[in-house]
Amino acid sequence: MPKLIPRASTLSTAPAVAWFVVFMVAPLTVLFVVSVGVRGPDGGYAGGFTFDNYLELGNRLAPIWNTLKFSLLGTAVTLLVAYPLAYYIAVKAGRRKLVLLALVIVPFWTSMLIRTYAWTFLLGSNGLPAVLREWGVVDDLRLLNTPFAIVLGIVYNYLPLMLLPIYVALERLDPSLRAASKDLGAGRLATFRQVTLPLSAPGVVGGCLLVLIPVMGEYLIPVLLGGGRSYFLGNALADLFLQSRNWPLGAALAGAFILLMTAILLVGTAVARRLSGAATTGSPA
Amino acid sequence: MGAVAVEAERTQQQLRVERLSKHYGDVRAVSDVSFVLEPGTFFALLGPSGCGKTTLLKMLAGFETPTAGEIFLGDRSIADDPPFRRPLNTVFQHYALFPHMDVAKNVGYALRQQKERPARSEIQRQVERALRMVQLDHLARRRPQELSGGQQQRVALARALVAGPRVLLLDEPLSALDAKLRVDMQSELKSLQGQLGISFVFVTHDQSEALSMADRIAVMRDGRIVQDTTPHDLYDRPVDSWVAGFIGSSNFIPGSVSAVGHGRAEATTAFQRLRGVPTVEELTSGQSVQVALRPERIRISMDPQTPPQVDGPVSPGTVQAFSFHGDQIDYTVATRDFGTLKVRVPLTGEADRVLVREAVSVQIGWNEDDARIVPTWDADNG
Amino acid sequence: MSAASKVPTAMRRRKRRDAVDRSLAVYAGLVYLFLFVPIVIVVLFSFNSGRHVTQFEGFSMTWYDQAWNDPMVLEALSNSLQIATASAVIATVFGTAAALAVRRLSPTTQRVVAILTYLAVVIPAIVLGLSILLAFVMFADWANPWLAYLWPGDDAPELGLGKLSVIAGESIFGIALVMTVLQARLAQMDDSLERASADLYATPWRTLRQVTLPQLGSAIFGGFVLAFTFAFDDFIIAFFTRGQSQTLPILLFSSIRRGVNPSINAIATVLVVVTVLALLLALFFLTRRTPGGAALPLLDDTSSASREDPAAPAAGPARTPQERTAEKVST
Repeated sequence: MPKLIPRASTLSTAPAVAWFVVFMVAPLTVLFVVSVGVRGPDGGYAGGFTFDNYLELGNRLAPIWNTLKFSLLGTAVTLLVAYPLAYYIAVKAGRRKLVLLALVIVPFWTSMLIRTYAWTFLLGSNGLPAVLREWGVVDDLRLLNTPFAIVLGIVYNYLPLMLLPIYVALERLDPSLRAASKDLGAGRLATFRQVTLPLSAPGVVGGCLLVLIPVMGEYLIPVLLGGGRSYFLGNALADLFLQSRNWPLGAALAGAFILLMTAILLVGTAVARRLSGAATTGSPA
Repeated sequence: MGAVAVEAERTQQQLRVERLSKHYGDVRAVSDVSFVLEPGTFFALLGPSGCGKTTLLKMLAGFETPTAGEIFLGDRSIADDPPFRRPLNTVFQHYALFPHMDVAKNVGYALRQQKERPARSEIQRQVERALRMVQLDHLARRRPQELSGGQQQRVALARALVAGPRVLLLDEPLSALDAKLRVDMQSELKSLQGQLGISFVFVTHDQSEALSMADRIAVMRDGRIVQDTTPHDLYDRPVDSWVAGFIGSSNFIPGSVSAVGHGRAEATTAFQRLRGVPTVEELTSGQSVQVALRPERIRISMDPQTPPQVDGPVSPGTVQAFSFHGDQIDYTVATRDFGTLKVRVPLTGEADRVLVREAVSVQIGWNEDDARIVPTWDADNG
Repeated sequence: MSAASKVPTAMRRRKRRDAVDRSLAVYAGLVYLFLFVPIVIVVLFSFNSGRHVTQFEGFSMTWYDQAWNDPMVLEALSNSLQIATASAVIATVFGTAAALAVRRLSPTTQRVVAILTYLAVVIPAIVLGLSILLAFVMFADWANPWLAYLWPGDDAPELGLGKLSVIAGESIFGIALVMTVLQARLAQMDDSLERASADLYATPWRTLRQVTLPQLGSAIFGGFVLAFTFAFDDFIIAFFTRGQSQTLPILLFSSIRRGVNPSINAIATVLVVVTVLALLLALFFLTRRTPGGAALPLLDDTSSASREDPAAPAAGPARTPQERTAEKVST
């Protein structure tokens, strides 16, 4: 098509692309280079080419396992909490739909740090446990710095990311499909199990990916709510880069993280695509 | 002398398209299209979706660059001009009214783009005149979103006309309107075109729309113009069976040419030899043809004993189905001699309004003048 | 007989359905409480006069006073504002320019830009932060001796981590954000509008100025605000790339680690209020039924489904053909 927009403007993609290249692609390249390098005598990077750092990771699997365990657990609980809410907003809320959705998004855009801090404040020994003690419900309850607090933090911070894709899947679902199912004699539960749930599966997978990936890079939640006892990848990276200054090992850990994440993303999107393919061939549209 | 000057003036206004083609990779959206448009013609580009008519219009407007061919306005080639330098303006299918401007701003848009911008009062005058022309002067301050579909259509028309087009391009402009409004707009567009005296190029897939409005219709199929003629001629003398089926409706009896001559042709069919008027000159003996019968040209007699008064073949038959349309009745008749035929009977008065039952015995027949012998179009060798 | 036995069953069934619906609604209410109560409590306790964090002892602005008079807080606030403004400006200018042009590029180039944008969104902030840390430090280590050598005089500037590296990191996500918002709006915009403008003799620059940009105005502003709030609130990228510079979230983080203290609530409240206000502004601009009526891009295209058809007749009844003919005769 002949240019209806100034020819010069095609060049205007350049600054953004340059910015991405200089401050994202180049640093990531540096990261990979450093990950196969040698640690300098007083920290930092001293050139070289070796896979020792990656091999060394084999001795430091704890943070990786820990991260995987908590991210999967946290994602699963988030899904359980988010699905009914998404269903309610998409199917039952009627005109209030957009308002309810916005109400989920607004707290999500406030600082993650403050949202996490709020729970530190609430769960801390002077917060909820103190209140419960005063009421005589329990004597000595520890909430902060427990696995419970970490999972709670994950659910609280990432609920909107899980909710949105599920909401979108449910909202797109033609209500007449549910009506047809009931018309054909299926009850509420059977309709949900055989129509609604399978057709919203792509949204569920999408939501799980959207939560799982960033949770794996969490730093604040394990530090503020886990008290540093549950050592995540994020904590390990912060220590290696900011404290012990073992850059090559830190870079190798980050590299492994990226590989793991890419693998999850690839598998996840493949599953999502297959599911949504099934969903679209299953629907009359 | 005067005649020569007038003639020169006419050629200056001619839109000439020469061997225009547009290919997207292997897809030939438009191939080898040529036509000359005299000023003041209402020209319809008619074809099913995907036939290339919209691509052709976009090349005229300048939104697509031709792969090959030329477009002349008068003696000047405009094929390489960007759209904003072509004195051809478009009424878009979904109107494309600027939602952030009111109606007057939309209509005056083209005037404000000129290098030497006319005075405000002049712009206002022209906008008012154009809006009066489409009877919307009372809505000048409204936003397009606040108007009905028909009103938006008029604004789009006024906006394009204010730009002072030498040729106005209309891309299925009536397709988004409901049936009744569409009929009103058809006659309005037609009379507007007559007043303005410029050419309209009107893209449509609706054959009845093209027949009722255009002075000339080019039927497009697979990127080519297959027939370019007057509506009347198109209806009466379709170049092949595809066109005959696309324009109006027809009964087809397949056969092959057995004799030609004296403005008649004879085809051997599965039933008997049938004679009719050939729609093309060059019919050869043995050529595959169809005997095309318009349903309204077949005569029907409700009395099974009396055949209709015709000079062509007649046959008894049985009514299989009928549908009532208010001004006409369509019958499906299983005939003894010619298979199943559609027959249309116009209802001209109270006396005609005799409803029949199915399975009634009738007689049908037609005049030889009303049968058309058209070459068979076959998709593979078309 | 059958009718008599059916009625109670139907009623029972309806009752059960109502119960399910009601419990869903109650559940939704509980989740909203869960979402909002913690933040509300932080805000509430920032006005607590007592030092004791368990019980509310009365309204007071003490903690705001204390925070406001702390030079460290003020410096961090000023840094955060500078960083957020700079990142948002960069993100808006570069992101807008790119979003406008990218649809005119070849499919291959478009794919490259799309991959870069996608990368900027999926790359975990922590990885981006530490990569920038590495790159900046290594570049500074290499460049500083040269700079000292070439500098006329002894006071050669030293490159290193600081506000600039924070801005670099924050604006990566910002650009991706602005581009995504604008591309969503552009996708909803009818491209025949630009064609119509060209058809009516507007040159490309005029089309950009008179048709394209006016349609995008609110989305551009919305994108700016989103990029600003992201950079203002971000902790993790700044944590790695800040060097010696302090930002408000990082100051807050170190105070939290030292132990809960009521002035934290005051700072947190300020942050929440600023963000929520900015966000409401952004939502207002992004959902405004402006030209084209593109709705909140964060909600994907679902919102457009519920939006009313702009082509639907909203004005008075269409006039009859007779009226029109009458007018035509009179003109």
